[in-house]
Amino acid sequence: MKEETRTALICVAPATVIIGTFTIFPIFYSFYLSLTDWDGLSPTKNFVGFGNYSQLIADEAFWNSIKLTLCYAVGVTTISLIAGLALASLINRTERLASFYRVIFFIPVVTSFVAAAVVWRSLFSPAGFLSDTFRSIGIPAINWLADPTWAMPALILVGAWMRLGFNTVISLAGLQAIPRGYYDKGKVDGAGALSRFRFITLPLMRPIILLLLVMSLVDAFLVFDLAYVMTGGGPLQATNVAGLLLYKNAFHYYKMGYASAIGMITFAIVLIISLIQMKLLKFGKEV
Amino acid sequence: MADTIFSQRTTWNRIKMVVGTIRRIWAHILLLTIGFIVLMPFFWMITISLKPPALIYVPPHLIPIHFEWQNYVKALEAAPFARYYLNTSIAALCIVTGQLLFSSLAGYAFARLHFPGRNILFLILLSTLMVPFYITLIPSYLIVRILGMVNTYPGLIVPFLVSAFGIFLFRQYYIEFPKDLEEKALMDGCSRLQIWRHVFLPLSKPPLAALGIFAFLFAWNSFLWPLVVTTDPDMWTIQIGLAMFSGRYGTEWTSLMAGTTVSVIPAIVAFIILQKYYIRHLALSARLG
Amino acid sequence: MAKLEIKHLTKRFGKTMAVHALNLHVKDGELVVLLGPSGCGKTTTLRCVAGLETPDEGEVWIGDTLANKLPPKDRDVAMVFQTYTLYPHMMVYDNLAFPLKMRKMPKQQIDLKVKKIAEMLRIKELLDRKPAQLSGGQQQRVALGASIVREPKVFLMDEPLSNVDAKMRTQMRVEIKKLQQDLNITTLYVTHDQVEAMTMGDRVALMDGGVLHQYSTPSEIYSNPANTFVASFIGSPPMNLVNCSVIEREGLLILEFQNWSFTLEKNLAEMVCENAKGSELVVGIRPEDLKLHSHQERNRFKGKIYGFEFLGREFIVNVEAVGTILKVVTQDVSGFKVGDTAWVSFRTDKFRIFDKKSGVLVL
Repeated sequence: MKEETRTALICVAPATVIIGTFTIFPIFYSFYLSLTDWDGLSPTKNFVGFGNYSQLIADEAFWNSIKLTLCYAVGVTTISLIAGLALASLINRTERLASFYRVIFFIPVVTSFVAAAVVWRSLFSPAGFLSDTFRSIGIPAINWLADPTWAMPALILVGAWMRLGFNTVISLAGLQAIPRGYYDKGKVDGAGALSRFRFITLPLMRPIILLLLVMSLVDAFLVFDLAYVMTGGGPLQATNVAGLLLYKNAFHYYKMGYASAIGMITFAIVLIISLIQMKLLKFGKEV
Repeated sequence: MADTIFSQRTTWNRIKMVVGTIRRIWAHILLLTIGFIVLMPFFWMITISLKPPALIYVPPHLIPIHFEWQNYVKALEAAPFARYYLNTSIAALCIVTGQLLFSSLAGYAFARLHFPGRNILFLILLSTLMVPFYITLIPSYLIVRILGMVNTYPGLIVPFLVSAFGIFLFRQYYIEFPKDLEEKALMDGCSRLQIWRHVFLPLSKPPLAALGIFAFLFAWNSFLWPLVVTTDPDMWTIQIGLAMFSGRYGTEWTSLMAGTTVSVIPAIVAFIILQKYYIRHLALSARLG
Repeated sequence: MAKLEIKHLTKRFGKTMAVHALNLHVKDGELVVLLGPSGCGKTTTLRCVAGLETPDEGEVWIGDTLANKLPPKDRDVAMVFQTYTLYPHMMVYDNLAFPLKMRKMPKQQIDLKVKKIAEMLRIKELLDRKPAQLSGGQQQRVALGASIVREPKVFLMDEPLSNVDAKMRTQMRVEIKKLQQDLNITTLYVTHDQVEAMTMGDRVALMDGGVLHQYSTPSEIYSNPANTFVASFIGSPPMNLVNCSVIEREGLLILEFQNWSFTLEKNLAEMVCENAKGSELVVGIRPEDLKLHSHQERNRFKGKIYGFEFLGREFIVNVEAVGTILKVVTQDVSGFKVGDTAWVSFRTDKFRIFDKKSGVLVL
């Protein structure tokens, strides 16, 4: 064997082995498990075909979970994307301190979801800062995390807060890439600030915006840490997102087969959403 | 006549300059305010962590005026944060080293070596970036369990020793290297592996820094996997320790915030030091998406 | 220290034939220049000798070893690249020491050799600097040093002076040649610059289109070019080439030019008849072998002054004559101005005749 080939094999072996074992193989094994009713402990697995899937599709709790996850994803994406763009535009106006602001807004992104959950839990608690502030201006305090109506919004707020910096930085990069000449020409052509935004900034930012849209949505769908620590899925299943459902079924209820099915369907849903968005992307490009 | 036009012009320029400056100052004011609001939870966290327990219900403020370091001591006594730190540090160190080493090696092979199946393998590895934990969690756990790695360091580390993103990063970087350098090394008597070791690796500071901080943050902030793979409190990582601590001492805010502060400092510090590389390569991961 | 033999070397890139059945023998200690225009195959040949390319056919012998199957590092050759490649992250000392380190030489030995080379190339003060801090000329000297530090059997150089500025180039030409002679290393030197070739080479191999056109000493290649390509490539300004037809009359050969004819001596005529294939010939004469006169005499032809180019040391005079523009090199142009009629004489021992179709030298 050529030395080049031998060396190459040595170089890619660790990567291939690890990724193969912990990502590629699981794809198939997960599917296989989803066709059983295994509990994770017994030595035998019973094949149930698509039984798990039909059970899932009929299960209201599952669809509730998906709905909640979708709700969270859309909420987080909308808020963090719009706010991110706005912030990026603002930062773009400043010349020198851009890096400083980038770091400031990015700090929540690099903190763990656990730490964020703990801190925000205390902020949301009836004795916490937010409630105190509300009380001081006369609004009745909400026990956010104990209220089924407000738990999800609280979660979305924290999720968006954590995502904001990322969207800001990427949007900023996109804005900075637009040559100033376009704006100067726009001004000379008589376009006001709003028109310039509509006809110059927005079209040029379109690919980035759509990219952030897909990324944020998919990423938000994978929420787990935040929900686990902040609400545990409650109150009354109000924040029982798909990730939590999967985890609980696998490691608390000993229904690994069922949990695997949850995983596969949820992944399929995420995939479909991404594909639809990408189709929109292509559509957008042609238009 | 010329005089007045000239002076009119400079006055107009001056007005424009002033307006421009005002707009910029206004932008700064807005940004600083929003920045303050965004970082408010951190100020809150630090402030509370330094307040004596009796005074937490005193009118809320965001800048610490008390400095009750005892809270930190109490937190350390209540839960073995030192142990969690140790566990997480070991895991993070191994994960970072592994990812840097193996991603660099694989990236080099994909960029500069020719071997059968190179492009297909690269595409396959790259496509794994799209696979979420929904699919990989349970089987990975089962593999770790079979290998007897539950509640061990290897259990925390092994699945993350390689990063497909890292491979992509290094490949992009190495593809740009001039061929002359490689050929010179060949003529100087280097084997292909030695070329990696003596030529490519030393010149890889940017991707090493970028992937390093990525990997460190990932390892440090990791929660789900350690949760699944460790049941023994001695093996808990800092995030799990924090979550459990908050479950048990949820109402003892002062120590809780102390614990939280302690858990976020390494991540924030690491980020601030290497933020240049992180953000530069963020664009790359965005393009991948 | 060894001879280099290239036998029947052929290399294709896709459909293009880069090198075609090349045979080249470099003597031990000789500096042979591979000369030719871009794309003629000289660099490909060099890389085949280095082991960076694998020939499709043919053999490369380094010393007494068949090198075809050996990887570059086992061939005991060293190469200097056009971009004077140095490891940017290593100091000059480490750049020089690197090849020796790879051969697992003991540290003290490495130190001795490096210092010796540094002394020889006058780069001793630069040992602790990084390549980025050096000038182009200094970098090239370090690159040279890094190549010879191993004392290889064959030294390969790929247009090493192309990226050096003109002033430094003339100085480095001398240095490289001296270095090569002092160390007596068999060297294969690739360049497209014929001045470099003529001044540095013990022998010059002129290539075009993957084929070797002539392989001889600089003086031989200058005075007896093998074909019209060689004649027009070597020399600055290049040899004047004029078309003519040949007529046989009463046993004599007459060369017919536009407005002039010239009768060949008997023995020369015999040689031409032997070697020429057709009746169309090309006569070549170098600019310095032409002379301008104000009067007509035997064996002078008429011309009109077209223009002057002043080079400081001499003039190039462009003369319209015998149906083309000839270049004449002379130091004295007094009495001539543009538009004047001049009578051009030539050295009868210096003209060359080529067959028009094949371009090959006939006389």
